[in-house]
Amino acid sequence: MKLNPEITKKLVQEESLQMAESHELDQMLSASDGVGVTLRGLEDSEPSMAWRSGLNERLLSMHAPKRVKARVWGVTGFGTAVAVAASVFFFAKPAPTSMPSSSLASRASAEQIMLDAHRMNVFALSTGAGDGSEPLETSSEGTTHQWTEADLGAF
Amino acid sequence: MSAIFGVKRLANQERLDASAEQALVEQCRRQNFEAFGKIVDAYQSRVTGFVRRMVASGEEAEDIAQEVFIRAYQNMSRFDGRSSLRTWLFRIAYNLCVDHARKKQRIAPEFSMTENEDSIDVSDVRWDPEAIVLGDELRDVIENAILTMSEKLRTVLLLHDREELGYEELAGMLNVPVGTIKSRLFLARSHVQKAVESYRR
Repeated sequence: MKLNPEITKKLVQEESLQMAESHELDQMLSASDGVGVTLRGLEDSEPSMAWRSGLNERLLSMHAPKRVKARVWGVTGFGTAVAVAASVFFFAKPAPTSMPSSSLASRASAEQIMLDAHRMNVFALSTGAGDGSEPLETSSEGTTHQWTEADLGAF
Repeated sequence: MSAIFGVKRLANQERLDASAEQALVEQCRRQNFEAFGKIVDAYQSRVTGFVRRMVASGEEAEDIAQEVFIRAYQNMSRFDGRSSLRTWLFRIAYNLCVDHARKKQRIAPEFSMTENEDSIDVSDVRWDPEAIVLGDELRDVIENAILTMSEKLRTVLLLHDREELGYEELAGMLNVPVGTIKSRLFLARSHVQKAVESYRR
């Protein structure tokens, strides 16, 4: 069984074949199937353990950064979500239209304290009982007054 | 994590059936390492063998074979199942081998039939596969014949005759007509046959 030399040339040049030539090629391929059987008999040597370990390492190194990245994204994402939720909670809350009574009471008492302090200060300045910069009751405590002779003579 | 890719399963080489393959692919898409390990177990030997025959350097072939599985794992979501997983893996392997050859600028000499334009006889009765005992020497002759043919012929010979990919699958993979695949296969077989005949004389 011989292949037509003209067909051989066409095969080498990868030219298209006529119907009859194509049929002839099919027959030749069927006749040469034994080559394929022989080739399938060739053994493939197993990849080494080192090869497999190397592949595992490469795959793991490829996968690890993704996991770390995912974890970082998870943490930061959670933090961001909490921050956004808190912002929404505080800023989206409607502004109070009236002052709470407890807050008013505390505000009144604070004002009262300030007013009393001011009055005492004015009184101290006008009577000379103190310079007004320090509490009257503590200004003389712990200090010994130095009497002058004029003071003693006045008595 | 340490259980991935069970190295202990290296010897467990078996072809996956379609349903098992599909199930493994689905698991791989969910980043299941163990499932991918089973795919590697099933195909590592064939893929490595193909790459070794396509690339002259053994060390480079091993790197490329690893790269095949890396690419497969990375792109598992793109595997649409139109071809078998095996075909897809060999397509990746072939593309990587071609890229490697381009980078190395190592173009295998084209197998030329013009030196001997006599009719080619491939129906030689001596090529009865049952009558041929593949001894070490004859195995080396065949392996050498494969290495010395052009990349185009070698690809078709290995993928069709050894990996049993069909004409249409190969035509799609190599983006050439089916007739061209048949032509290349015939020339490649003739090249191997000539080498074996020369050895036996």
